Amino acid sequence: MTGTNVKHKQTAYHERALLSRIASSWRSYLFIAPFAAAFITFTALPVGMAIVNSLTRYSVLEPPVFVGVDNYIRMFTTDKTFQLALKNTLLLAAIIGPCGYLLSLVMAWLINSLPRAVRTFFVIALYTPASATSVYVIWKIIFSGDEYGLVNGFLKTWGFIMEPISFLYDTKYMLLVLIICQIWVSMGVGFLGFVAGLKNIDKQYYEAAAVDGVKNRWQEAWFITLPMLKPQLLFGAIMAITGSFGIGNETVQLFGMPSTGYAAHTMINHLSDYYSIRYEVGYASAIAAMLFVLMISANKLVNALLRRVGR
Amino acid sequence: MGMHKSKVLFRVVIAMFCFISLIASLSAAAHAAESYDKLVYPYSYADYPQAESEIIVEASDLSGTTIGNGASVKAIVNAPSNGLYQLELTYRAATGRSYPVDVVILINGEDQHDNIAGVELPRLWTNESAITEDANGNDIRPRQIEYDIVTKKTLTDTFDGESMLLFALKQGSNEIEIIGREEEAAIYQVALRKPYCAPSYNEYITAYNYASNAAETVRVQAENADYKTASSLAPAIDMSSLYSQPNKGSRMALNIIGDAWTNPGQSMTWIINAPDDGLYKLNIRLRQNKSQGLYASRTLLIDGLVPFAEAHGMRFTYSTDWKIFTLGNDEPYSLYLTKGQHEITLVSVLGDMAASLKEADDTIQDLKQLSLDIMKVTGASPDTMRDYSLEKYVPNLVGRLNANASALEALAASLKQRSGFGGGDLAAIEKMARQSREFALKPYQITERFASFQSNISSLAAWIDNSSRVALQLDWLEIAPPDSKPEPAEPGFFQRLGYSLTRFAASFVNDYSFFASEEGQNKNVNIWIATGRDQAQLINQMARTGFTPSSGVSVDIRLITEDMILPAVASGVGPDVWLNAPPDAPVNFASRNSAYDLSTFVDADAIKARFMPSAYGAFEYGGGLYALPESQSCPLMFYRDDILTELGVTPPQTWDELIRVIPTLAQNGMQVLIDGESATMAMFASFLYQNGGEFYTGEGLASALDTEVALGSFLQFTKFYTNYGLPISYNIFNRFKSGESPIVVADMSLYNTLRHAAPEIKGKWKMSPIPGTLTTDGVINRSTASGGRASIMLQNAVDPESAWEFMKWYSDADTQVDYVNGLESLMGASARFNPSNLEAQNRALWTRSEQAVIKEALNWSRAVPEVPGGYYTSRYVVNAFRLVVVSGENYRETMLDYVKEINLEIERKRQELEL
Repeated sequence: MTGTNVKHKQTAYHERALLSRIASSWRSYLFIAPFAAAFITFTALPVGMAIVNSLTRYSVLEPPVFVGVDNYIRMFTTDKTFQLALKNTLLLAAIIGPCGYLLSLVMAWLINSLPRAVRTFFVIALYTPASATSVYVIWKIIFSGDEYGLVNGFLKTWGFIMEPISFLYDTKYMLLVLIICQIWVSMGVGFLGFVAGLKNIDKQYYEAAAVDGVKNRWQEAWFITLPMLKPQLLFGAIMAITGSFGIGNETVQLFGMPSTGYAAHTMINHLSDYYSIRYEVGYASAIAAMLFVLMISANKLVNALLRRVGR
Repeated sequence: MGMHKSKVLFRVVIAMFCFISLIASLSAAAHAAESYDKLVYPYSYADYPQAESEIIVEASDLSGTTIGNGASVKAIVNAPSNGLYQLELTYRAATGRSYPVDVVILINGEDQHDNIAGVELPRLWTNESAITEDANGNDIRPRQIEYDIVTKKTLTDTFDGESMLLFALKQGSNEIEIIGREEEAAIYQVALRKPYCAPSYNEYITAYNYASNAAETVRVQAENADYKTASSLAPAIDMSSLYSQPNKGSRMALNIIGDAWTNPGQSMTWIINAPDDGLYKLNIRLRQNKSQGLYASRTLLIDGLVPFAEAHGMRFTYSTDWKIFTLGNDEPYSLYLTKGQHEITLVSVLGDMAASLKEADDTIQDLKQLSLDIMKVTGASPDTMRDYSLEKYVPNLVGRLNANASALEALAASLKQRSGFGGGDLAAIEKMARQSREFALKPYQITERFASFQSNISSLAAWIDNSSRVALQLDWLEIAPPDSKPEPAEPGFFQRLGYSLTRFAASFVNDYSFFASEEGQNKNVNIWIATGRDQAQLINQMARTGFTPSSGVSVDIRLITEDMILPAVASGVGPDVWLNAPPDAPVNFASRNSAYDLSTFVDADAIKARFMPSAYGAFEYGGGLYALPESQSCPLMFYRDDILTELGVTPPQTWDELIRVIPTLAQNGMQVLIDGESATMAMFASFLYQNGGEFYTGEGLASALDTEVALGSFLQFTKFYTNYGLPISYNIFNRFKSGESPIVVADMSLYNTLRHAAPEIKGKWKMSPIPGTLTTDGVINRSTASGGRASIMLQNAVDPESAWEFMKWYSDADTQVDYVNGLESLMGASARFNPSNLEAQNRALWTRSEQAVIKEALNWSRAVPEVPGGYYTSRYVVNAFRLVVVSGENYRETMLDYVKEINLEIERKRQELEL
C-alpha cells in the first residue's frame, strides 16, 4: 500500500457522516468498550451526578430540592471554614506534592545505583508507608502530647522544653506535623514507578551519550534519565498532586474530626463533615465539584511543566 | 558432602530426642514424688490435731436462714476436743444473679483464713433444653439457666480451686458465723467433717481387689454437662476435627464445651449410668490448644470425692490436635463403680502451679511496693541526670531487690525442671530477676530504667494471670472396660484432607455476614447490626430460640459497617431495625422523617419504664421517641485504694476535696487525671449540670452556653488544667496501673481495660461516682452525662408491629442478661458492657458493690439532648477546651465567640429542616 492511497482513504473517511463512521470502525469501539464502560460508570457518571447534586439541597433521606448555585455562593461568601479548608489544601498540595515528588525521585535515583539486594531492602522500606494504609497512626505516638510521647520525651530529656508540647491540639504545630507525616507517606506509589522506570532505561543510551560527549552524571540525568522517565514522571506527579489534594483521613486520625479550631481542616474533611455529620449532600457535592476543578487544573499545570523536561 | 551433613543432622536429632525423653522421665519422677496435701491450715492453729469426729448442725438449730448483703447465719457447736475440721455447707443460692455467693467464715468471731483469696459457694447452671436444630440444620445454642437446687459445697480456697480449708474448733462450745458478703443464699445445713485426704491409687485399688472388669462402654457428650458452676461453660462449636462428635460437615454442630473453662474452681459435672458393678477406666476426648508451654490442671471427683490422690491436678499439655486422655495415661487407673448413676466432676484447679504462682504473686506485691517507695523519692518523672541515692532513702532497697531476685530465680528453675522446657513463658520471670539483681548492684540505674522496671512487673503479673487460666476443651467422656482399646483421637491424613476440602467448598456457598431466617413464618423483620461477628451470631441464635417461636416472626440479621446505612436507607433497601446505632443517629434520622416514632405504640410507656430517662433522653425529638437504648455508660471515678490508704487520703467526694488532694499527691510524685482529652463533652456536662446549667434554651432553639452558669462551669473545668496543672495528654490506663495517677475520672469503659489488662492491681482499686458539688442543702450533686448505643426502627419498616415486637424482645431483661453473659463467655471480660435495661443491670455480671456504684452514678446522670445542629455544640466545646487549655486563650471570649457559631448553625439547620 502506498502513502497516497492511505491519505485518500482518510479523506474519504472524514467526509462521511458521524454515525456511519462509527459503524464502519465498530471494532475499535468494541476494543475500548470495556474501559469506556468502567470509565463512564465509575468516573463520568459520579462526577456528573455530583455536579447535578451540587445544585440542590439534599439530605439523602429526603428528596432533593433544586436551589441553583446557592451552594456555590455560600461556599465563597459565608462559609469561612471552607475558605480555611481551601487554603490548607492548597498549602499542603504546594508543599507536600513537590517535596514528596522530588524526594521520591531523588531516592529512586540514588537507590538505583545500589547493589541488587540492598536496593530491594530500600525499595520495601520506602514503599511500606504508602502500602500500609493506616500506618500514619504511629505519628500519633511520635507526636503525642503526653510527656511520654517520643518527640516530647526527646526534647525534655535534652532540656529543650520543660513542659510537653501538645503537637496534636496546639493550632501552631498541627499543619507542620501533618506535612512531615504526609511527606513520609506520599513517597510511595510514585517512588515505585520511578524505580521501575529507571531499571527500564537501556544502558546503550548512556554509552551512546558518552560517545556523544556527555561529561558528568548531571548531564546524564538531564538529557537521558529524565526524558526517558517522562511517563513515570507524569504518573508520579499526578499521584503526588491527587494524593495531597486527597488528604483527609490522616488529619482525622491525628487531630480528630474536626481538628482544633479547624487548623488542619482540608477540603476532604470539609466534604465528609457535610456529608456524614450534617447530612448535607448538596453542599458536600459542591465541595467535591470544586475539588475536581482544582485537581484538573493542577493536572494541566503539571503537564505543562513536564513538557519542558530535557529541553 | 550432603550425605555427611544429613548424617550429622540425624545424630543431633537422635541425641536431642534422648535428651528430651530423659528430662521427661526425670520430671515424671519428680511429679510422682510430690505430695498431695491439699489442705489449708488456719495459720494460728496449725498445731491443732485433725478432728476424728463429725458435727452436723441442721437448719432448725441455726440462728438465721439466709446470708447475703452482710447478713449471716450462726451455729453453736460443741467440740469434743481441740481439732481441725473441714466445713461443708448445704445451701441454695438466690436466683437472678450471676456472681457466686462469696462468704466469710468467723469461728468465735475470728476469721481464721483472712490471708486467702476468698471463699465462694458456686451457683449451678445447666442447659435449658437439649440441643436442637434449626431449619437449616445448624444447632441452636441452648440458653444457660440456673439449676435451682439445694446443693453441698466443702469450702475450698478460691485461689487454686481445690485446697480444703481447715477450721480450728477449741474444746467445748464454739460459735460459727457464716457471713454472706454480697450475694444471697439460704443455708440448710452446716457440717463439720474430719479432713478428707484421698488415698493413693494403690490403697484405693487394693480395697476393690474382689471386683471384676466391666464389659460395656458408656459415653456421654461433654457439651450436655448436667450442671456446671458458671454460665460461661456453654456448648460450643468445633469444626476443626471430623471426629468431634456430633459432626455435621459444613453445618454448625454444638459438639464441645470448655472454651471459657479457665478460672480455678469452675467445675462441670456429668451424670453417667454405669451398666454394672465393676472396674472401669475413664477416657476423655479433649484438647488444650490455648496456652503453649503451659498446662491446664484438672481434678477429678467421683460422686463429689477425689477417688485417689493421683486424680488431683492432672496436667494437660498443649496440642493442636484432639487427644484421647485415659485416666492414668499408659497404665490406666481403674475406677470402681456400682451399677447405677454416678456423678463425674472435673474441677479446674491450679494443681502444682499453685505454690509457684503464690510465690510469684508475693514477689510482685513486694516489687510493686518497692516501686511506689522509689516513686515517692524520685517523683513520677525523675531527672535521669541526678543520683537520688535511693539506697539511702528507700528502706532496705538492696536487700529487698536481692531477696526478690533469688525468689524468682528459684521459681524459674523449679518451673523449668517441672515442664522440661525453659525460655518462652519463663522469660517474664527471668527478665524480672535479672533486672532486680542489676538494680541491687547499681541502684543509681533505677531512675533511668524505671519505666522498664514497671513494665517488667506488668508482664510478670500477666504471666501469673495466664498461667492460672488455661482453658481445656472437652468433646466426650466415657467409662470403658479397663482392657478395651481406645479409638483414634483424630482421623487419618486422607480423611482429614477430604473434610477440609468439603468445608472449603462450603465457604463459597455460605454467606457468613448474613444470618437468614427459617422458612415457614409469614412475618419477618430485617435487622442490621454494625458490630463484630460474635455479637451478630449471638443475637441470631438468641432470636431463633427466644423470639421466633413465641412471636411467629422470623428474623434476618445482616452484619454491616456503619457507613452502609445511609445509602441503603436512601435507596430504599435499608433494614427494619438498626441495632447498635450511634447515639446521634436517632435524632438525625427523626428530623429527616426517616425514623419511626416509637411513642405511637400503645405500650411504649411500659417499655420506656425499663430504662432510666437519662438512657433515652437523647433519642427524644419533638415529643416523639425514636430509639430504644441498648447500653448506658457515664464517667466514674477510679481510685487506687492501696495508695490512697498509704497516703492517708480519703477518696474525694467533691471537686473541692479533689483539689485539696492534688498537693498531697504531688508531694509524692503523683497526680490526678480528669479525662478531658477523650471525654471532653461528658466532663464539661458534669460541671455544667452540677452547677444547674443547661446546654440549650427551650427545645434546642439556641445554645445556653453563654449564660454565667455555663461560663462559670467552663472556667471550673479548664482551671484543673490551667491552674492545677493536670496533664492534657496521657495514657490513663498506664498511669493508673503504675500508680502515677491514683485518682482518675474517666468513662466506665476503663473498668473493662483494668479488669482485662491489669491483673497486677486486681483488688487494689475501686470505683465511685464522680466527685460532685456540695449544694446549699448539704447534698452532694454528682450529676454527669450519660451516653449509650441505640436501637432504631426505620420509618419505612415493612411491618412496624413485628419490628416493635422484636425491639421489645431485644430490650427485655432476660434477653439482655443472656446477651451480656453470652458475650462475656464468648469474648471474655473485655466485652462487658452495661445494659440500659435496669433489671438486666441488676442481674448482669457486676458484683453488688460494683453495681451499687454504677447505679448511683447513673441515677445522677442526664442525657445531653440531641437537637438539629447539635453536633456544633460538642465540636465547639472541644475546640474551646483545647484553645483555652493548650493555647491559653481567654475562656470567656472563646466560649462566647463559639456560642455565636453554634447558634448560627442551629438556626441554619432549623431552616433547612423547615422547623
